[in-house]
Amino acid sequence: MSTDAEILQRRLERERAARKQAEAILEAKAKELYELNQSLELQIQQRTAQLEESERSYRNIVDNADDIIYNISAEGIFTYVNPAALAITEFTAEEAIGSRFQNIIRDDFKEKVIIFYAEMVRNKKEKTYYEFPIVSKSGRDIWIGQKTNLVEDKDGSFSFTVMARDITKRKIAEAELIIAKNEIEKSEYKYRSIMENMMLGLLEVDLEGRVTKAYPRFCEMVGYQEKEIIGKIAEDILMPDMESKEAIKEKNKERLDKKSDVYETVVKRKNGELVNVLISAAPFYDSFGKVIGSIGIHYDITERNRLKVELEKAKSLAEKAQQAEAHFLASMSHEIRTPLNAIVGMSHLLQDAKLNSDEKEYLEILKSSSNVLQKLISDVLDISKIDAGKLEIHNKPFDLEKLVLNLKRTFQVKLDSKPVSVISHQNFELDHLVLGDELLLNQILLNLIGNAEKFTEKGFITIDLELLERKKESLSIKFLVKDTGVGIARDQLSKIFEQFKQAHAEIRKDYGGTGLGLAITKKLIDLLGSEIFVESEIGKGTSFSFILDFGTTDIKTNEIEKYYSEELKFAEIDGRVLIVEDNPMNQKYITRLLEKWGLQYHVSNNGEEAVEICQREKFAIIFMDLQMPIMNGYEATNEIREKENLNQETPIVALTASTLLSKKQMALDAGMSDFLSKPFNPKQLSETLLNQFKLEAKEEVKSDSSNQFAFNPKLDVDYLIEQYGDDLQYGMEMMEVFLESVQLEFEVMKTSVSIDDFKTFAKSAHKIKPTFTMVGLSQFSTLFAQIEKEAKANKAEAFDLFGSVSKELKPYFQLIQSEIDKLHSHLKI
Amino acid sequence: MLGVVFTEFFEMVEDKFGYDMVDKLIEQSTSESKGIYTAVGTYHHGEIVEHVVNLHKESGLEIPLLLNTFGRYLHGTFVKNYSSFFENATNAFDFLESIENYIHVEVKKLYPDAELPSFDSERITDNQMVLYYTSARRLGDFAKGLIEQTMEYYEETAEVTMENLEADGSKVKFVITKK
Repeated sequence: MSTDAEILQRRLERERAARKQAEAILEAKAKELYELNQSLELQIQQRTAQLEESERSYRNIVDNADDIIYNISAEGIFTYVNPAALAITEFTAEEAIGSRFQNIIRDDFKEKVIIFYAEMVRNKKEKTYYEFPIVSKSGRDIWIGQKTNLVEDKDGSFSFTVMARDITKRKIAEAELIIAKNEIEKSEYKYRSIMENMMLGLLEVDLEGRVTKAYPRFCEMVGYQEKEIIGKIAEDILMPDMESKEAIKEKNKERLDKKSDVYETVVKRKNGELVNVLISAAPFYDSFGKVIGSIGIHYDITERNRLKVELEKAKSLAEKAQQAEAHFLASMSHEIRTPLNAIVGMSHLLQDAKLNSDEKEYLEILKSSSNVLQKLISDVLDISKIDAGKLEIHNKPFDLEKLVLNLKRTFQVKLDSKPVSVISHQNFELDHLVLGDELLLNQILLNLIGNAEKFTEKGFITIDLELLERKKESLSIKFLVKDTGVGIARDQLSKIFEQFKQAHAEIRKDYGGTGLGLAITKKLIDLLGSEIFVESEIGKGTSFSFILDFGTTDIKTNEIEKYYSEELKFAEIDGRVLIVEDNPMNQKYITRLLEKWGLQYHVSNNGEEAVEICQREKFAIIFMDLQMPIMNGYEATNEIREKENLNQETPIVALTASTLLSKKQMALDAGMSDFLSKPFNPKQLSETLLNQFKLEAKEEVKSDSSNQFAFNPKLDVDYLIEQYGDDLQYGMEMMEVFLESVQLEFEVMKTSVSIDDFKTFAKSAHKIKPTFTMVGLSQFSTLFAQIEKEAKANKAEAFDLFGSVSKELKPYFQLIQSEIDKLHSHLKI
Repeated sequence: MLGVVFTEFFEMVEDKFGYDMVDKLIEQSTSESKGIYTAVGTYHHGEIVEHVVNLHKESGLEIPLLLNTFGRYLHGTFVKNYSSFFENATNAFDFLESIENYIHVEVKKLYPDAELPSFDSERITDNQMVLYYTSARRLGDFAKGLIEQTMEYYEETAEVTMENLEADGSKVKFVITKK
């Protein structure tokens, strides 16, 4: 246990030791601090030297910099300006330092620049960039781009450190660019205003179809102001319906592929009116050639379309008027011809009666007057037929020489009373028939010779035929009809081919005529694809000439004599003739003629009576009027052809006052064999009668001699011969297949009609369409093509047309069946 | 270990038990410094452990209590000598949070050799925070005394719980919940 004294003693020792220890530590720390201090001073010296060096080098850079560098005090006084700045501004350092910054700014920019830097100080913006012009000591304009740093000291005062660059060249280039751009815009504007003045509306849209520019003419066109449509989707405002909106969107897409396009569409004006426009649209490029939109040039075609519609209306009206005219002429021909026929016929019959000389004279006047009337009606009808395009060219083999000879004889007889000779001349031999329209050529020559006869009092009428070219399959012949008549004045020559125009008014008085003869002649020659020429000299005569081409045949001219000779005895006709006619005068006319020729006949007053007697008696031939009460000629013919009776194969000749081809076609379609226009003379009736039997005889001879099969002429015989030729077995099989398949399809089509199934209906029509041609009924292929087309458009007309066509087809089915039967026996199957 | 810890420890012992106890502890000590400490010196940390263990033997008081009491005592010294640290914070949590990244950084500048514990803090709510004490010296109880005294200094009442995350006490979790 230690005493207090011992403890105290230890405590003192400890504390002295601790003090010494602390003193030693502190001494060491102090020494350490001293050494640290020494090293710090050295470091400061080194750092200061480094700083000075760095500042020197910076100043050096600044002094040698190409850029303008300067310092400005808060008051706007230059405190430092580098040599580059002095060089550019041409001031010396002495002049610059201490002067005001604003003194060097160009006058017109001073205010702007001062406001700009005042703003910079107020908003304490650390850095700014500004471009403005300064003026050098010598007065040169220099544009500088100036970067300014605001340097704020701790005490709140500030100054500017500025680095600027001479941008004069760039500014000049920019100005030039602006001028160039203006030039381009001016020229663009020029072209656009040209287009505007051409009433073309220009519209520019971006890639989304948003309007970027609408030119005044376009605005006028759609009734909007430019500001109303700018920025809007063009098609949304301007297109009247969804469909056209989509269409425009599609069109705009095409612009991306750099495609241009022209199309017609309808746009809606602000007031809701629709405008037809023709749009020429093209992609629109930026200066890098990238498509940035499209430009559309709009042309208002509303007026044009309206005119088009009106024109179409007018055309259809004109066509209707023409049809009405044709209809009128047809009716007129019926109304006038029927009684006229009786007059002509009766006067012919009177000739055979015993008459005194006065009566004979009256009869002559009656005959000539009715002949003139007949001729006039015939001419008028010819003209109207030609004008309506209803006159067809029928090329058949005929004897050209004989035609000329007949004409020559006819006029020789006529000119018996005048000192005028008819001479024909031909510079070539023809021992074969030629192919052409005998009737038309006859009419042309008849008119020309008739004309010559009328105006020639003495001398000659020459009919000249000159062979211009002979090829294997064609002949080119020049016809010349020349007279020694009164001649035509030069100034009248151009008029003679006009309708109802004669060289001068007195001619009608002196020579008569309808004034239609030469007009018809010219039209007929035009129709045949040729041209008529006339030459004349007053007092010396006139000559007409034209050139026609004919086909060649291998039928010898002497053979035709057999077929066309009038030697055939009417007595050879086996059986009675049936006359179906409601007009008693016509009945009498025909019956007297038949009596004269020694033929037996029966008369029925209408179709019904005819059908009835056909059940009981087989006739040699039937003459059938078309327009009759109770049952008309078409219906009666249909009945006779379709129903079981004794006359299904008997030839039926239509008698009608109408000369229209459509009526003729209707008659043939109804199953008639030939066609005789009323009024007819005895010769025409006898020819028709004989032709019926002769043609059949000819066919029989042909089939016997060459063992060839004669198809019913109602079928397309040429096609059938070409198609089946020697292989008649094949032809017959085709016809059998045809009947089977068509009737089957007809059932399908009828069912389709009842359930309004256009698709199935069109399909069937398509299927059977070609089969008609295969059996020689090509006209029905055309009709079924039309039916198919209508059906595809879902038009009910298809059903109506089918109804009428299938009715029309009925007799043909029987005809095909009878052809099959005939082929059976021919092939002895 | 900083000399101030030793000088303050013996100040406290002298204060509470009289210099006799100080003398007794130094005389028993086998340490190198032989009880001669100055606040500006640095000594081996094992010496303080020896002195505390010996004080426990002499006084019969438990070591945690002794360390806690020493912590609270030393806090007073810190307030006296380094008042600026305490004035910079306005509340206890802010102060505790500033230990690791501010106070210790500053201490290192004055005493580059000092080996300081780490205090990772985590504010759970406005009224609760967690402090992770990590030190090879394993003086968690001492730290707890410092924390408790800090709360008192800022006149805030709080419950401080202590949990050893490592069995040897080298890592300790303090949960401080204000009341």
